[in-house]
Amino acid sequence: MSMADIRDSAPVAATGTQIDVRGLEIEYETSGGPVHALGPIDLTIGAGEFVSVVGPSGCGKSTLLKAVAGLIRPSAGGVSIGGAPITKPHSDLGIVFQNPLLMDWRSVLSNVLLQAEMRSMPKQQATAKAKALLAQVGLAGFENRRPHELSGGMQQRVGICRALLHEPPLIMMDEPFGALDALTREQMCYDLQDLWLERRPTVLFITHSISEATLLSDRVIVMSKRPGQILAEYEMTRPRPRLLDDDEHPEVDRVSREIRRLLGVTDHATTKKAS
Amino acid sequence: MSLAWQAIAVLFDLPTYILPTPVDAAESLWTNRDELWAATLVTTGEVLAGFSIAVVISIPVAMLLVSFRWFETVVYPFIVLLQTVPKIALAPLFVVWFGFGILPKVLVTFLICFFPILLDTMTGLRSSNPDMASLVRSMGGGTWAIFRKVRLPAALPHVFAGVKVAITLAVVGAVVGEFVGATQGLGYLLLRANANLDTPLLFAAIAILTVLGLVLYYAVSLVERLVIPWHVSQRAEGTVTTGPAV
Ligand SMILES: Nc1ncnc2c1ncn2[C@@H]1O[C@H](COP(=O)(O)OP(=O)(O)OP(=O)(O)O)[C@@H](O)[C@H]1O
Ligand SMILES: [Mg+2]
Repeated sequence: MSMADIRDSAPVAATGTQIDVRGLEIEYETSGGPVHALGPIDLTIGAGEFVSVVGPSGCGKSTLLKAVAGLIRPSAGGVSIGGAPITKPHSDLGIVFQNPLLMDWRSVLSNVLLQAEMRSMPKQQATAKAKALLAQVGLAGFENRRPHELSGGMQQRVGICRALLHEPPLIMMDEPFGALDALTREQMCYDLQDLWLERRPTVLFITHSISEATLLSDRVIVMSKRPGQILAEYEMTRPRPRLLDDDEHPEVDRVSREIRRLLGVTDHATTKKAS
Repeated sequence: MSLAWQAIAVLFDLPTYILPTPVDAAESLWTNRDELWAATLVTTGEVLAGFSIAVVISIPVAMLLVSFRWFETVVYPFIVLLQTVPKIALAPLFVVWFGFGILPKVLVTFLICFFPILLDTMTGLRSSNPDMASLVRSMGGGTWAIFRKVRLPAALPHVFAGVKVAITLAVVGAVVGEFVGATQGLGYLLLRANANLDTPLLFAAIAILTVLGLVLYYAVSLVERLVIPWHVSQRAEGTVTTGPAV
């Protein structure tokens, strides 16, 4: 593995695209009247930056991701990607949705290859790439199964392979490891870290896991309850590749505590000690 | 069941024109086999023609209805109106217009089959997860790609539900069409047997119509199994085995 070289040499030239979010607000029309789901949000994600978003359930994280991807129209403000204002769905990216969104009528492999079909990628190369990705996430031998024959965590991994197949310069992931067991989740985190170190895509990563956020990110964004706004941002500067059990690291320790405090988690052990 | 039937007919000593024994019906089936076979072919032809035309027309119409708001606003009320007119009442009119040939029968069959397929296809085309459309859009796909890759395959199970209802109604349509004016077909034979009090022949024709309905229904089910093996309704492991394990 060439990870050591990457660390020691000058940073790999970023292949990612910059994202600018300005005054973004989203209101959903519902039968019970408009629901103010998000914003206003101001956020810049640099080219090749890895940004995580954490926040309480229902605060608008998925809404933010969809709005940035151009999949829902802002009620106010807007988004630019690579300097160009987004007016329709942006397609130069890979998205992992919160729900695996696999097509029942396609095999696992064919679900991953949907990406290739839609982008007219050469069939043979794409198939080889898809098989390699599936093997990497531990799904070798499942290529010809139907999605319903897979567990929730396996389905999620298929969705991840589909989002990465075309090596996009921008990756958006909505709680991609939510349904995984602890060990697979760790492995996937490390794989994602490697991928990012190799190619430096811009990543918008939504998670409920503070350890995932502190492991992977250049910056962690904490969102408030609905309508979601940015409560705080934390730069994560410790060198990569990082390890998950680095809780002792002062930066990780401090940021984790602050996020927990912001999100209202009371730590009885510390409060007792302090008093 | 036919044993019980035979027993009732014999025990109560019912005259043959009220309730023939299964043996009588089977005999009639055999002696009139040539005529019954010819009639079966005619009726089957009408059923298949009306049904096929309904499939070929209703599915694209359903696509247009769900794709274009204005089309739905303008056309759908007419379709509902057409559906509310009892098609059986239209049959005599069709005889006046189109004579005693197979056209009026095909038309009645078509009209009976059209609505269930249309309605279920529309429901199906509206049933896919909107996030699935977002997924395709994020891959650069437009409305047509979403339609082809998501909405159409997701609609197929519903389409088949409608098609299965339609195929059972199709036989009724053809027979009704023959009732009001025909010179051949099983419906025509039924009327003639009735007029002659030839109840065994009546029963033979009914038996054939039932078998015809069953065969057509299972043919459609077979196609369904081949086309959408992935759907929950078609999965072997989806069937829960009831009853004792041994
Ligand atoms: N299509 C919709 N129509 C109406 N309201 C919606 C819609 N989607 C989301 N909402 C509302 O917007 C708010 C934010 O939803 P969103 O899915 O973005 O939350 P989230 O932060 O991703 O939550 P979670 O962590 O549970 O996934 C919620 O209150 C939700 O009820
Ligand atoms: Mg969400």
